[in-house]
Amino acid sequence: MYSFRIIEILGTSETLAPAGGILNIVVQKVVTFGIGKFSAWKGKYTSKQVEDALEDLQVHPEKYGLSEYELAGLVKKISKKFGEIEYEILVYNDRIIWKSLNNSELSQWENSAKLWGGELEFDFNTAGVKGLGQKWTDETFEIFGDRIKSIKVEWKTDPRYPNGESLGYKQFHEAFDETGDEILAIKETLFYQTMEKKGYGVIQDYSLLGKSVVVKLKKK
Amino acid sequence: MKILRILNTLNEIVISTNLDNNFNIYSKLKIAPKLKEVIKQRIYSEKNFEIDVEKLQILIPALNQRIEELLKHSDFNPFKEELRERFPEQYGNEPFVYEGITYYLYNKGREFYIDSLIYNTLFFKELLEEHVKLNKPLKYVYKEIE
Repeated sequence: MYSFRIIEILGTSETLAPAGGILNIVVQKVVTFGIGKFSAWKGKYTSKQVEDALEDLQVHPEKYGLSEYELAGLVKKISKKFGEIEYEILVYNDRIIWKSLNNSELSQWENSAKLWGGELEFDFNTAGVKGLGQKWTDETFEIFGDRIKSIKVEWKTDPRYPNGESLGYKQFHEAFDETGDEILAIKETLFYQTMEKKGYGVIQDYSLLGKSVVVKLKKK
Repeated sequence: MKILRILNTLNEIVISTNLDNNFNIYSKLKIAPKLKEVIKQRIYSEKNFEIDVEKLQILIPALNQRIEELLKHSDFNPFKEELRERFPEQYGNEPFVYEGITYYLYNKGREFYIDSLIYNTLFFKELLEEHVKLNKPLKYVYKEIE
């Protein structure tokens, strides 16, 4: 139903085509392959172009031969509140983006969750707003549900995080310094404990390298 | 889980991960196949071992070469102009100057996997340089953890 063969023939020169042309091609690619695959073509389109295309897709689904039902499965926009903070969730197939509407600190970060072939990863900087990371994590599980097969988390020191490090990094290192046991230290983190309650309690892999800790969890 | 820990010159654990991840850092290096094989055997030997300074001196230029390759990789977005314009704080804070060119790294997420490889290779290279400077071998400690 989607004319992806034609799209594939078009080369990189399409980035030089007028905006409308790019829009059509970008949207068709998103529709055909899903937004998750789209990032593999970065450099070819800017994320602004992708976003414009997706906006257009929401406003004019008929242009792309999509029914409302099909569209609902591709792009969703949900308005939410957390205390005083108002935000929107944009859901593009394998990607969720949180956009704050009234908190300038939060909107400096592209807060996102992505699924890569069933592996979930987050990139949150909640600017020290207590409970917001947890809220967004819960929303991720509501949206992706059983499609999440495993979870990859990266903790690090970073001057841009409140207190200069992510909470997971702080909790991991406190426990690691005390016990000298990497697995025990991972299990001491709030992140692990939250994920374990959701059924992802098996530590599949981890790596500690300098100021960065990567952990992969899977279902029991 | 079978793991290897690598210590810095102050005997602090700075790298800790499974055996495959430990070998991965060497697997793409352009070094003599014999040397690569020796390192591989030691990594999978399930014993503590050291790499002497003489070998570290061979590895450092190979790590530099690997960084150069990664900087040219087609999946690497070297300057992140558009991302930095939209989210300057997020994407503009890991500048990496190499031979007079400023690249911007973002060491997080699968989308930026080349950035993470560059970061890891750079960290490892600096660790080796620190050992060569103090004329100390690189120490690996084997452990099984549950």
